[in-house]
Amino acid sequence: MLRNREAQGKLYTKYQTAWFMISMRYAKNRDDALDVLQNALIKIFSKLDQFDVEKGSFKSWSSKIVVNESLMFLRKHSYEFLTDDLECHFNLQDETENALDILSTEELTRMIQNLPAGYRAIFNLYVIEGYNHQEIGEMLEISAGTSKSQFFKAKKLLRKRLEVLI
Amino acid sequence: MSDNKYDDLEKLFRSRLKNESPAENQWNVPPMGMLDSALDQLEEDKETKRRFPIWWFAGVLLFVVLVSFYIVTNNKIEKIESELSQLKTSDIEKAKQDEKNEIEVDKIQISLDEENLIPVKEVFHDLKKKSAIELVKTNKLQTEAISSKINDTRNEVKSITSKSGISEGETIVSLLPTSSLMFDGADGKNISQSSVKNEEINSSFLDSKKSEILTFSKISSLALSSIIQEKSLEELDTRWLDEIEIGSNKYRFSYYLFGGLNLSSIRMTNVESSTFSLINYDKNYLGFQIGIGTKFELSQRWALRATSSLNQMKNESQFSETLIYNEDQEVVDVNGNLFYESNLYIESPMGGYATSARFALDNGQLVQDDLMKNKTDVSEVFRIWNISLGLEYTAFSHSKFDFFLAAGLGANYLWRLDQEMKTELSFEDDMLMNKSFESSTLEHTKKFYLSAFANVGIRYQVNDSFGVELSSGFNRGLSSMRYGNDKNQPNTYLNSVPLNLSMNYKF
Repeated sequence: MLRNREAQGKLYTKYQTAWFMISMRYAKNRDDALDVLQNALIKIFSKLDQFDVEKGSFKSWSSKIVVNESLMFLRKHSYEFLTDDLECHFNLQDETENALDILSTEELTRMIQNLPAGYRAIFNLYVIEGYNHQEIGEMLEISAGTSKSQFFKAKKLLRKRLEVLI
Repeated sequence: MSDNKYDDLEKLFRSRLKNESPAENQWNVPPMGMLDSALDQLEEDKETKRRFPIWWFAGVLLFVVLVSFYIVTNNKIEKIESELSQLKTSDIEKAKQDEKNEIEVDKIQISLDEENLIPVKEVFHDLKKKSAIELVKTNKLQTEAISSKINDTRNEVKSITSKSGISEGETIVSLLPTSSLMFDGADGKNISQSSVKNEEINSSFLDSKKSEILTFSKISSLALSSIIQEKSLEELDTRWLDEIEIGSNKYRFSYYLFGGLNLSSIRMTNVESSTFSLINYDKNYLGFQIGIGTKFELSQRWALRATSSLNQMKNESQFSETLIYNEDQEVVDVNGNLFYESNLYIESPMGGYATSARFALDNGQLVQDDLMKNKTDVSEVFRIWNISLGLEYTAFSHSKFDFFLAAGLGANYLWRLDQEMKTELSFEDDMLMNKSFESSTLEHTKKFYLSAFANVGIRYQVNDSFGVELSSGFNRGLSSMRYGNDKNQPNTYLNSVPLNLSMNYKF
């Protein structure tokens, strides 16, 4: 059982960047991300006893806690995930995709941060965490259709901003 | 998971952000001290969790102390009772012996003095209230006081006799018949007189004074004490005591209705967060409550009380915050009208509301990063159902009045009856739009919370069945109505000072 500060410090040093990047992707800005990270750290270290090494890696277990904490933060502070489930049709413009190569990870993260909270959460959950729309719908208590339409809106906004940047 | 489901744009984001990237200009590294801050917070949380059971412990302790006190008091009475059974000789006999030389204690001259008349019923009532049993027990032990009481009685009798001018021969009645007279004559019709040996006493004086005898004077109670002192338990005819006991048993349960005012105060903690937009809320409010209760008398002084009550409260709170206009939150409806969708999350004292409101705009009225002001007023009506269990202690009684103290614990369930939210958005002193609506979501409200109460009150017994009671005290919320006392979150505690009038019915 890792109880002492030294051991906790070692874990933190190893995973701090991974955890912080997750919270940065979900939060609107660095301050919010730090709030999320602090809450997540409290959860991680207080629930350390519940981590079962046979069920997966520590990184995966702790990352889920950070993701959940991020979603809780969004729900509490800025966004209700239920929005209009209107039909949306967008024309994807493939030529912008290559432009991503010249953008830094920081710039990409900031682009995601600038998305509205709902779009940001759904984009992260679908693209980075790898959940499908059914699962996202259950997590955010919205329909799979809403998740899908918001995801497309998020991508539309990202493309629009990429066009401005490049 | 296969990456085939992703298009190129998604794949690129995923490949660049999925995996941890090295620290680049420290943008993705949290500041120094982050860990220490989190661990300190964790320690504080643990400390809070350790401290919370103290409230429980305090409540349980209070209950245990009250119950123990009752048991100890009860045991003391049993002990006294046990000692009484051994008091046939010793001091009582000695006291009796001492008196015998001067006067025959089983025959005292008594008379009726109009000035000292007390309705028999009232005497009976008083005896019942004090518990005749208790009177016996108490007086029996006070052996030193026996002689003086008998003397007092004797002197008083002499004084009354002298004042009334009634001749001695007419008014000699044995003490025991005196007590018998008092109780048997309670119905106002039948007066039976019996001597120590249950012999009938024929007294022309008593016959002529039947109606007055019904209102036997205070001599009765004095004489009664004296008789009790002088007789051993075996000798004492305690049938009348049994009757009183039976009478008491009949009144052990009582039910009551109560209603009154409730001056309550709301205490919020952890509201300093920079994201917190609550600027004002009703800290005190006047509500009302009604309820029913039952009381079970454990002894002459102790009773167990259970109540169920409904309290209603209204709370109003105001919120204000500055918003940055975000073009991404513009929405155009099917008719081409432009709206700004503002997502609101407000922390009212009673719960959190996550909702969104749309404000109509003209095209170009606001641009990205313009500062707007949002002001929201929330009015909420809540009802609280309280179930309490506690002990009542009758501190002292005087005539038909009882003064009592009560304390105990309560469980509360809170629900929202009505809520109205009015929000307005303004830009450079121009109001864009205001809107009233009801938000259906209420988050982070625990609904159940615990409380403790301590009351004082006065009760007036109108007659054997009905009584009126006025009580007041302090109710304190022990647990938060929100977030379960989480130190990181806003919490709300409800305290109140009730003033209740109740009507009791005993049966």
